[in-house]
Amino acid sequence: MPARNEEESIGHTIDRIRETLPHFSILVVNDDSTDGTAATSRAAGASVVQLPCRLGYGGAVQTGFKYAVDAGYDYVIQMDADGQHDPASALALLAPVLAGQVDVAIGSRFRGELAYYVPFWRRVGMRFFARLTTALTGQSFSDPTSGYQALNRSAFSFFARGNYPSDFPDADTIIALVLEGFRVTEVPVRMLPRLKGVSMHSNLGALYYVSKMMLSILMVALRPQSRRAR
Amino acid sequence: MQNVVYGLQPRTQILIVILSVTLLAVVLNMVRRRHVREQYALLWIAACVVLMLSAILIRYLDALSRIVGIFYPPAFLFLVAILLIVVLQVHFSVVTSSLKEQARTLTQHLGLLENEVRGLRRRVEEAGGGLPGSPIEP
Repeated sequence: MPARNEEESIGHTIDRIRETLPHFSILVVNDDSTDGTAATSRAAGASVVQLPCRLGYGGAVQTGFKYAVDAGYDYVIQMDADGQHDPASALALLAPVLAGQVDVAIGSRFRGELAYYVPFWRRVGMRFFARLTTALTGQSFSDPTSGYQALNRSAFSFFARGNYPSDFPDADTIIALVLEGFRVTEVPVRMLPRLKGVSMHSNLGALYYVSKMMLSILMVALRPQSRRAR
Repeated sequence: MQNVVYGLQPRTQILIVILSVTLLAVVLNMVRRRHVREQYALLWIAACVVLMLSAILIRYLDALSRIVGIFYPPAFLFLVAILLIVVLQVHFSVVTSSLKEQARTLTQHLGLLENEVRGLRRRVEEAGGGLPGSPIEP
């Protein structure tokens, strides 16, 4: 779980994970928070990696992948620290990866129960990128920006090695995975409204985000793929 | 007064467009090869587009240029190009400053960590444990 200034939600989030998934190790990557996120996480029983500088969501998630590679983990479940991702859906998300059917399972909030409302313009943007991702990968995706994912070692090692965009997981990471030969699928998951705090998306200019994403997708498509997935 | 044509020759417009497109291609290829990050490329793309449009739409910009006292269209294009370069430079000043700040934080962190490691090594050695050589100066 990448986290920055989530001290109000993270304790509760960790508690919920521990009660639903008692046999999982929890790692919080503290992206140079200015509040008590690290202390709260440790108190709740999670391991914490402290980043000395602010890297952003993508950098923090990649740190988690590197940790998993070094520590020898076989599977990683990526979740948000704000409690939006319901731990009850985690096992359903992990199932196809565990069974070896796919390398990455993306949790989609639009396939399962929609427990909350997304503002109109955000929904328009999400639908656009969902359609674009579907078109470019030949597979149906409804929620490409979802940070609720299950990855096997092959997939998270690929990201740990340096193929992760700097800001957020998104359409470009999914397209990169598919083009590289990884098997990706979407699994319905339950997402809840934010408990507290500020959304990480709220400050990005919409135009900047769209331009950057389109460029990133173009680059992903143009870069040579090693197809080392198998 | 001689009969001078004030305006941008089509061949000049074509030159500017070719230069802009070439620059765009070079920058995009650098992003593709991971020498340049996407977010910095965005500014370069915007600059190329602005320059290209200024050359192509020079007839409409001419009125604007006369208002500020520039009666020679190529001079106006130079002004646009210079302003774009300045904007890019300011942006990179910001980026460089941010990097410097990050480097400072990391260096301090590293210095403090090395200090801690040295202390730990001493404790282990005093306790009788043998340790292999270290890249840190004792």
